[in-house]
Amino acid sequence: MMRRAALALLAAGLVGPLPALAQDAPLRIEITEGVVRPMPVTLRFEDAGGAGDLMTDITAIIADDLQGTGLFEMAEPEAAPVSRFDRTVDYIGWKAAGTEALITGQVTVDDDTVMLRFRLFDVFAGQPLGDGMQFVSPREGWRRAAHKVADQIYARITGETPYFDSRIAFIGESGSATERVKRVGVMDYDGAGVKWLTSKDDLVLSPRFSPDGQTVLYTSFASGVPQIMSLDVETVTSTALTRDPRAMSFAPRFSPDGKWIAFSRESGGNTDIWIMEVANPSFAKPITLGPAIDTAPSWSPDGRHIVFESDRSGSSQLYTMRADGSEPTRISFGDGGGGYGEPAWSPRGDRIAFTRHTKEGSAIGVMRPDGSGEDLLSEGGRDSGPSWAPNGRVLIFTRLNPEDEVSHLHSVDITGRNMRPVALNDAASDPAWGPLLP
Amino acid sequence: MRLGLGLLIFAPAVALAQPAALSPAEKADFVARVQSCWNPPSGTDPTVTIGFSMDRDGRPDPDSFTLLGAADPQAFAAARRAVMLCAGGGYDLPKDRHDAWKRVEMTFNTNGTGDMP
Repeated sequence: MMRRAALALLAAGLVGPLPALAQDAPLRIEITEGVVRPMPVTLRFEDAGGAGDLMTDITAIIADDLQGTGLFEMAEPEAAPVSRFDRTVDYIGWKAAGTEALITGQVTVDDDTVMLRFRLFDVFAGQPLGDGMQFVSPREGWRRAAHKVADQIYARITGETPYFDSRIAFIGESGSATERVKRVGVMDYDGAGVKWLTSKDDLVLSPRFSPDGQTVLYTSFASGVPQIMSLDVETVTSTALTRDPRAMSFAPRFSPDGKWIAFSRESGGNTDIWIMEVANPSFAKPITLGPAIDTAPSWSPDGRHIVFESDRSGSSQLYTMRADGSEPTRISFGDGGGGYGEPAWSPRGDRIAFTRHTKEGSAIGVMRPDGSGEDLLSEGGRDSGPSWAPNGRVLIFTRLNPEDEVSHLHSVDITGRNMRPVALNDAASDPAWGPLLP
Repeated sequence: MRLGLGLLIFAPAVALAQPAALSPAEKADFVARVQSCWNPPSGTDPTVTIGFSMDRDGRPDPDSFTLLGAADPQAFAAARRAVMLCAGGGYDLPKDRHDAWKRVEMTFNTNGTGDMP
């Protein structure tokens, strides 16, 4: 009986599980290395009426936006299939041509408006990537419409929040080194459309956008003592938020909900971090106390914490604390003859950017909010003042040329691979990236 | 004694029923092809395991891709794109052992690339 049972089990083993072994076990492969190369994409836009040269300008902006990320390259294959906005896409032909994403579009322009329509196709998946969209803008807003299209393409392919249709506040610099003129300006993220917001007579520093992009805080020396000003971007009118002639107030930064401003206040030789209520600026209170210099506050995106710079340990280091000033925690520990400064908390919350000072100069770096994962994104220069793009993947900062002591703006992605100058004719410093425009 | 004979019968039967595996060199060639097309997404965790099927000519079935476990959608898209992109007219795999590779589970991670984000 037992022998029969054993034989039955053996038989089951022969005819049962074995075919499953043969048919079902997949080949298991592990890929641990990759390549870093831009994705080839092709733009195919058509003039649907009245576009003329504007169509070329619009497609150039879309191409520049995408290529500027370092993630895409414009592919113009010689053997590309004919592609029309209203026709079916020849996926096989585009795949053979080496394009991975195809964007077809139409530009229509009349006296008052510009209309952009586009569709995005994933060539290797052989399907559209999202629905077709159209943007209609006043004729003078064609650049923004182009940025909006690029934003959509970027977001759909990368899954990231876009940032092309955004503005940057900065300090424009002119004049000699001894008589430097500084004024607050705003520009499109790519350096176009510069608009000056303060006069040449007023020495100004550290502009910072409000979360809704309608207000810019900055530090003014007009009264002789640095004070914090609030500037309405639309009406270009400024209001003083601090007025105490015995105290210097500077380095302001809005909380993420726009209701509070953290700033540095120096009085009697001691600098602490204060907060004030936007609706009631006269209500201000310190959240750090002590003889150390505490400055450069930056809020976490949930508004619960603040990162700041302090020399309480003997050298300039970064600390985080709760927004009420409790639980200060040192997060930077590097040496090398310098220190850390100008921290900026990423809008994603996952990184803190900073300026790393060394004997050789200064560089831009990032670390996690607990201080781990420190990584320098630039080297060998005099870089400072990082500010995050709205998606937390790109930084803009000031690079000082030591030969002529003139500053210009540069941007770098979070990997450090895509470093590039901002196309701005003026010397500039102290950039502050604003929110994505509605 | 008879039970011992039964086990002797069982063992060679297993060997016969299993599909002949790819050799280490064949597997390495396949890995090299795919990784030359894998462009890990920046700014997100690229780790992902995907499953897909291939026909006897080594061409992946575009409709067969599945995400195994949890991963960032961009990681899945990048992995899928790598497999499709480098397939060309089909991966150079032994047709007579199609059973061994007609279904693939492929894990992508950056353990081997210290500078990946």
